[in-house]
Amino acid sequence: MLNLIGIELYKILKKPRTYIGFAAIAIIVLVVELSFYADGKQYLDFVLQSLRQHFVIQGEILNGSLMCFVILQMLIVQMPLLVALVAGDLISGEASTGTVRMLLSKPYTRSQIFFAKYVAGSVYTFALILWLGALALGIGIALFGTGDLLVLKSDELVVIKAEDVWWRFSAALLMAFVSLSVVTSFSLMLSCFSDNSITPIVATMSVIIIFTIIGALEIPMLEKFKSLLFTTHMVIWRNFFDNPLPMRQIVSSVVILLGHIVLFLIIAHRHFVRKDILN
Amino acid sequence: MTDLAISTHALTKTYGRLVAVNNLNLQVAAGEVFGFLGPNGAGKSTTLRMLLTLISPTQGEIVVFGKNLWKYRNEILRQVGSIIEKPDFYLYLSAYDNLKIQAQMCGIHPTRKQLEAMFELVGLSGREHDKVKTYSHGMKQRLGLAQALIHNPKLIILDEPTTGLDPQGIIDLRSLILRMKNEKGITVLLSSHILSEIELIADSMAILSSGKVMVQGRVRDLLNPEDMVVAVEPCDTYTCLAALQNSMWSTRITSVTETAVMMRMSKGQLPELNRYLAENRVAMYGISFKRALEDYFLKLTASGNA
Amino acid sequence: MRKLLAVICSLFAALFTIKAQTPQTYISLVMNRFDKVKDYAADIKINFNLPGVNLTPVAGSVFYKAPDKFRVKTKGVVFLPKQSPHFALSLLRDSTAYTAVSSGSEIIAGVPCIIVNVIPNAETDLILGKLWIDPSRGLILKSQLTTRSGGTVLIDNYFGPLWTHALPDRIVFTVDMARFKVPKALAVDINTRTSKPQSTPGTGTIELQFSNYRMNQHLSDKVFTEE
Repeated sequence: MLNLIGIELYKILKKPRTYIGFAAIAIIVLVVELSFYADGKQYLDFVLQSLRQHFVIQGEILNGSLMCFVILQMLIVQMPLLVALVAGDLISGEASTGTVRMLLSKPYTRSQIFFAKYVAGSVYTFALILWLGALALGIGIALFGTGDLLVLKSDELVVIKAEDVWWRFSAALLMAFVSLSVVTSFSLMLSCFSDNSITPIVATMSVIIIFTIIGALEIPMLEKFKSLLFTTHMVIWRNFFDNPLPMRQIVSSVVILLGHIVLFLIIAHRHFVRKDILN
Repeated sequence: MTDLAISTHALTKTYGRLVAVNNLNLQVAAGEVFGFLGPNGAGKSTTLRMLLTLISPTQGEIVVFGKNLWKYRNEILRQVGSIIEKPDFYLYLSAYDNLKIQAQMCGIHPTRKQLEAMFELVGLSGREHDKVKTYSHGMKQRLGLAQALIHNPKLIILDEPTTGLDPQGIIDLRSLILRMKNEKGITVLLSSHILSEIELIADSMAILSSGKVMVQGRVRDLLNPEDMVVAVEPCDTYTCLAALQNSMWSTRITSVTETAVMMRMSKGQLPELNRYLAENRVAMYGISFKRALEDYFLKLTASGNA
Repeated sequence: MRKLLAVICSLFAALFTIKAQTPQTYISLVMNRFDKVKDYAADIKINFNLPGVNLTPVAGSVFYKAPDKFRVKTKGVVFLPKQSPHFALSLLRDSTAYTAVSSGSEIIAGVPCIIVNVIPNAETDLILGKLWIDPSRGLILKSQLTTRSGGTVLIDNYFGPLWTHALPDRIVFTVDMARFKVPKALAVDINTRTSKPQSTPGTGTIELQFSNYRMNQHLSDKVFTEE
């Protein structure tokens, strides 16, 4: 099985499309960090001007932690596309090039192949998140130093102590990984049903967009339904930057997200192991 | 009794009402080249895919090297190499990487030397580190063969392996298959819709039509030159028939069309027939002959393609 | 009943004493007490209860040097009132700089206080100062400062053993503030709303808890300038 996962990872590593996500993240992180380096202080002064009327804000607000948070906030929304780009291609890509015939006539069970692909897709997803976090925090610290994190919520400003920042970022990235794993499993599921990789990628993004729109609609009838949409829970990583931690909400979201992952994997696996390879 | 590499028992595959493979009983002896003939849509590919577990049979059993395929799937497939439809590769990888992955998928970790030897064998030395997307069709076919052979399989399944190859490529492939059979005792099951190709290479063959085996046996028996189908194309069919019906040749007539009188006889009787028709002043455009099986297969192909 | 009578009598006595003196006298009383402190360093703990701002309590050090140097040193980000806790006292040091007007009396935390309004004579940041002075101990128990730059701030002083030097154990700043709004581009909407105790909407408090005072140790000016 490890051999199989290794092969799958090697294939992902060698695919040019794998690096689109990493490159896109690097460019955006650099642009945002350098922009803040140029005039972030003025921008923050503007944001905080109402508070500065009453208070002296002591301490370095513009620091690596804030930069990392701002970038995570901006980019995690776009991450599903980057994940779908690779996960949606995992099986359908093999079907479109015909290599699925070669793959499935090898002495590995379909279940092994399926889970090797899922693990490889998850490793990619994790690497992408780690890259985003490390780059945003690394460049942020290099340019702005460390310090307490000022979380700018729309209705509240939360200051997270510097000593708490590390574990919160780690937990948030782990949570983001769980959220994006839903996208990985969803794309993989669609990938099992398609013989070309464009369909699962486009379908994944379409579903995410539709669910996000439904989630944003303030219609009473949809309220109960909203809590079942995985997109509603994909932003749960942010809760690690609230004080105190809304543990109940975090746990319930994790359960719902894991439920989605399991459901998508069961459907995908069931179809994959029974599928006749006709193309 | 000869050891069997493959045997299928009442193998059937249906898609709704469509019967793709119908009660197929196939026997492939170990160490032979077995030709699997049939027109398009006859069920050849479906059968080969079932042999590779790409398609699950609706009913029936497949036994490979004496073991049930679905029960001992991994053990059996470790000994099988294949090219189905066309060789498939990860185009973004080099040929070397493709071959290495293929070997690893079969549970072996070949050394650089072993991989290079394989490239040498299929005539791709010097190009092994090029990306496969830069390969020509013929080169891909060779690489596909290398993939099928890299793990030293006991059985190779090739689906239409000569498709798209140039004449030299076809000759090379043929000689490579024969080498595999003669030197390593590998069983080769190859499908084709060209009888002559099978005749040149196969020891045994089966002709499939509409999912059923129509003929199965040794090639030399089936393509017997003593059983020829002769088409006499007279200028006047009536005169020709009149001359034939009053002779010993009347029993040889199998059918009559507007333009030809079809007869069945051994190859050695042809000069005699020719002489008889000349003596009876039957004017002819020509006499053509085919082996009976060839004729049968051509009809099958023609109706299959129609 | 006897106790009640005693309290009423003492209140009347106090008020009679209050009436008898000018506002400046009380201010002088306060200043005399505080003038004994040339400088101090102390440990500080700051608690925040600001609408729209979620800050956990922070600990640090605080330094003061007469006449008006004041600095809080903490790790990380803190929100501090614009005025130092000794802002009023610094202002009152020069009796020619303001006009003090008596404005009645009030009982603060059981202590009868006289109210003195302070109006600067020149144009300063302070527009009006209102001081609640405990005449018996010469302490400002409460002050309300209206400044041009920071609006109105209410400062409640709670004294402990060092009341003799007018050094409080606890100071609570109450600030009127508009609800904080973050521009959409930078804001996040965390799906949670935790109910937490908040002061009156639009009013925030910052509480400074002092301990371990070290007085008159000739603090260097560097303490107030170094990073």
